[in-house]
Amino acid sequence: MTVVTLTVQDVALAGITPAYVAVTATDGVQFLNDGNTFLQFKNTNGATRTATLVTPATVRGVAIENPTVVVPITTGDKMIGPFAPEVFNDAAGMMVATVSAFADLTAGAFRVRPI
Amino acid sequence: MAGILTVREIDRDGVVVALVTPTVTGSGGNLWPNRGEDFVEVRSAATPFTLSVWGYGTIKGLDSMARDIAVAADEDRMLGPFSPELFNAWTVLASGVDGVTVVGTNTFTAAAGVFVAGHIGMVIDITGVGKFKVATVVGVTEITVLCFDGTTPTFTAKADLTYSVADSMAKVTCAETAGVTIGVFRIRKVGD
Repeated sequence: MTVVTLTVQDVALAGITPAYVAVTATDGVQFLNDGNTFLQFKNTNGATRTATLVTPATVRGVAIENPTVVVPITTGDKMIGPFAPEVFNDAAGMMVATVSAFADLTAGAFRVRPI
Repeated sequence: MAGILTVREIDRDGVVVALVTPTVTGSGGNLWPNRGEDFVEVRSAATPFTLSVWGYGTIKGLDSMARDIAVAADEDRMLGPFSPELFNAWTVLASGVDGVTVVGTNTFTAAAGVFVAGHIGMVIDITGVGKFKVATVVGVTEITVLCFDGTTPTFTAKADLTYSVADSMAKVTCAETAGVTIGVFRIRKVGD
């Protein structure tokens, strides 16, 4: 697996400069999810990218569908979330999003802490 | 005139990040109905500038929470959240004396044409009639309203009514607007 682990960036009153990292494989990205965090994808490629939000949880043994989000071409910029930890987190507390293709795709994870 | 920023809610379907040109400084700034869960994203162009967040609250008599944020050239900044008791002010966004309640409905009209989509969810105070929440903006001259408990009022016919649309709003102003874009986002709560 070559999933990229994102460091969650806390939005602050003084402002932060958001940082985005390159997605390096279709394994996508993961981050420590607390339910107040959103994921952002930026796509500069001429083809769309589809992010699949992995749901490890099951209900009475039945798998929960993995939602997908399409990131538009060229200037595609999407914020996605929040993610209920009991649905989206794996055993390590990570939320994983795989992608259909990774060239020209960057991602960041951000949290707005409750006041 | 102040500009009203549309709060874009982040959900699992993904919200497209679409920022707008801010209103120029000196014309009332850029307002939004801050609920304490919101953050502002601002992107600069070639010119650095100062983004001013207005503050209204005091702590032990000391004011104010206002702060200036230096935004460098070609920078992307996210800032927030903003505590409403420190950063919000009750702000009248539209008012007039030409209000009409349409008999048998929850429709309110004003010939002056003051209503905009951003007024949805805000409070309209109609003198002699009551206070309501703006439910829909049918057009610049017409809205529908609801009572605060969610029920639909039924108006009698009245005219020449004094009214004001207001909400608790936060405000930011930008010292530079050329090439600058801004937006407000709110992350939906888990389960909503």
